[in-house]
Amino acid sequence: MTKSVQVRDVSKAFAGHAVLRGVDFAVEPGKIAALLGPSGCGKTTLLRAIAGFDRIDGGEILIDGARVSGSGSHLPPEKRRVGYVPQEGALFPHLTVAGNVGYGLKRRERTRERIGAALALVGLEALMERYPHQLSGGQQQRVALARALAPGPKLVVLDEPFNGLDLDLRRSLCAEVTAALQRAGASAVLVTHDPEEAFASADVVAVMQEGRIAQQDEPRAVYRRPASAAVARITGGAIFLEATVTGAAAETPLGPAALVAAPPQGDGRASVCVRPEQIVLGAPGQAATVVERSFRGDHDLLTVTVGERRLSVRAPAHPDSGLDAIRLRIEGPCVAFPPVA
Amino acid sequence: MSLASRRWESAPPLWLALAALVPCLLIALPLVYVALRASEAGAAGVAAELIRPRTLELLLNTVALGVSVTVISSVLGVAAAWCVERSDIPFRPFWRIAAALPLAVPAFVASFAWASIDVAFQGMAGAILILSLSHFPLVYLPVAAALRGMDPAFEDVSRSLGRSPARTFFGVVLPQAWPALGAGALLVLTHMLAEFGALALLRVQTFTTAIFASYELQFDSATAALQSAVLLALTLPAAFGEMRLRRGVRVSRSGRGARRTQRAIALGRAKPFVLAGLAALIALSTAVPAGMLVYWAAVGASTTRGLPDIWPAIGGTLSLALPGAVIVTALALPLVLAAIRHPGPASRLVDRLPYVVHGLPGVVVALALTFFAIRFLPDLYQTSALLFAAYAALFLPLAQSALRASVELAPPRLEEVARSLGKGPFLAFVSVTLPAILPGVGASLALMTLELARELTATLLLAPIGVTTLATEVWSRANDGQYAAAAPFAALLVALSALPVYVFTRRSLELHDL
Repeated sequence: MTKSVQVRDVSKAFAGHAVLRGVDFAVEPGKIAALLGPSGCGKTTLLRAIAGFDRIDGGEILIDGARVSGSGSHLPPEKRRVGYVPQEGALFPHLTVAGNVGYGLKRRERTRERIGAALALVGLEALMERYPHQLSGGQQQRVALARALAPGPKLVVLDEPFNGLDLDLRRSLCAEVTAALQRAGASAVLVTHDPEEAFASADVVAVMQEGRIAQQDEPRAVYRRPASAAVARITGGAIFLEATVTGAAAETPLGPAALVAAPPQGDGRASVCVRPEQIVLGAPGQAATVVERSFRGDHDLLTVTVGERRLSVRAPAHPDSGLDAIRLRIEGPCVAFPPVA
Repeated sequence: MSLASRRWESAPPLWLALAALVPCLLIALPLVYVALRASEAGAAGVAAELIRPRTLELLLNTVALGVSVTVISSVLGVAAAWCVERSDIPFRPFWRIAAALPLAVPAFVASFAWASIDVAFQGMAGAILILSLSHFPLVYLPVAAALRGMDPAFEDVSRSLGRSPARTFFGVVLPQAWPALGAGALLVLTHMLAEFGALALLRVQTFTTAIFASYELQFDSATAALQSAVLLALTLPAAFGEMRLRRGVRVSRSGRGARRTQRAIALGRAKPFVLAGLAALIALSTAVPAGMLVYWAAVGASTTRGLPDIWPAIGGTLSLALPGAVIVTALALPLVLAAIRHPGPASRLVDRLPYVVHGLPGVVVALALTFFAIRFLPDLYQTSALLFAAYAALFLPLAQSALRASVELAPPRLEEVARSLGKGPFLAFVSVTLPAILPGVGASLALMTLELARELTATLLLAPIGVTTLATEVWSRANDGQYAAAAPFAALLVALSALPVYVFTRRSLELHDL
């Protein structure tokens, strides 16, 4: 099947500094892909290359099977029909909501019905006559999405669209945006540095690191089976334990741990990646000493020592804040990486 | 409790109310003068004076000149700003400053330079050409600043929605630069309505030159007063409009996200033509007047005429410009303090009113001041005091904007700390705030001195008898066709102007990088 967008071996340098180093990336029609990575990893550059704002130095980009960038050719952004939602929305301040949403429509298509239909996708039909400065941050982002969706693009790219919004709003908006994209039947590429946002909104997560795609898979797979220690850190909390591997099992300072698979490097010393929620309190388990108990509302954060190792462990909020000895164990399969030199 | 103290804090103190009187008085003078003279003449007299073919002719000339120069300046200014800020034109830093350089040549100097080439440049068409060339930087500077500060995300979005670069410019870029363009264009219009020296030299009859002629004939002439009334009716709406738009000039940026730097638009094959066009614009607006001054100065040097007069002219210029700068800066400081320390509708109006007064024609201000001095304070007539009052009317906004940045750097918190350490309000101001704003005061004084040195209209009308300045010497000699004799004075004026223009350009263009 033709990919909605296909990126092949794309490279790009700014002033001699390589930002994209052979990126391969694809999105199936109707799917939402998240580009997840730390700042400076090249994810925004890749997004801008797909939208056509920046030229690429090598490789090629295909949208719906047609080449738009590569081999010296570059289709300008206005010919690509790729919807674009920048950071903070960037609504045109001199136009009303209706003016913004109608901006990308041909003159005869610029009807109230058409604009209303686009706004209905994000549930804001009532705000047509407002100006951007009269909208809240979340409303501005939703209008920006409606504006991008109005001309009916097959692909929408979103550049950290929820940046600068508070946490509650981020979560609810994330769900609404995903729903709107699905209703519109558009594929989407969403750039973010927040793993929670990527997992919640995307069908596929591509983890970017230093100008390359380090791993591209379903959200659960990326989280449970990170391809490298770096991917593990980018995708959430990760605790690395010195361990000895035998087949698909490991012996760690916190006791035995199952591995998702026997590691390619074989038996011997390894560094095992454990997600914080995989460390469970209670017997049976390894004895640990609580050094500090910090109240965090719905849970307590314990600082514990196991032998020489110091760890932070989440525990249910405890009415008395005493310090005592506890037992810890690892639940669920982990991933083993070659030992840190 | 905290609300109450806050309210008490922002209630303007007495000194503020007194300071506010200054701009109110300055704007009232010409209005009251016109009203008084009109009522003295009576309805029949007013009608007899105004309903004449002569008035219609002046009105047509004034409006035609104002509208033409404003439109042409706007086109030139926007084009120059786009080339300098948005295209991949080579030597961008040079063009950025060069496009503002015409401001260093006072309009009356440019006019005499062109008129000295050929009499064909005199008359309406010549005036429109010369004044457009010398005034387009007033549009270029604010529009360039707006283009520079604009968030490129708007253009990216427009392109992604299927609009070509050209349609993006007219659909997104220009609408957002509109407040800057509007303010610049209205400033050009008010300058045109107030312009006197250039028009007199180019032999164009407008209200200002007519008022000057009536005044020279008979200083208390009813004709001059009523022509002033018509001119004020044209000027005040433009000046008010400029004040209002200026308040709206702020570059819209979407949110707090990191701003992406602008990408220059490739000119491609058009590059040599754009480069040639920009070079021609700078050559016509700056190089031709400057070249003519050098030429005439060389001719004059061979005949050594006029040079002995240059020392009295420099002395006269300094004797008016230095005290004038001190007075205007001293009047501006409380206005700026009021606007920043006691924000509210009243202080905002007081802060903005001088921008309207600034738009009043110098001829009318001078006429009104003379009228009141002769009627009520005859001792002041023919003294520098009247001229300083006119300087205040015409140049307060300049001093205000020079002072504003440094006053903003001395927040009231500092004074509060001094108060908490046991200093009284006055001592706290003198020991903490004043030292902090002194650099700004110094900058304002320097800028004002240079600006006042090139002022022509009010100085010509109000300077005490026997006092000459560089500007008045240029004008009187050029008016008599003695171009070689005028050139050394004019060249000195242009040289003096370069510094304030450079400062003004940097400030305008870098304002939005803060």
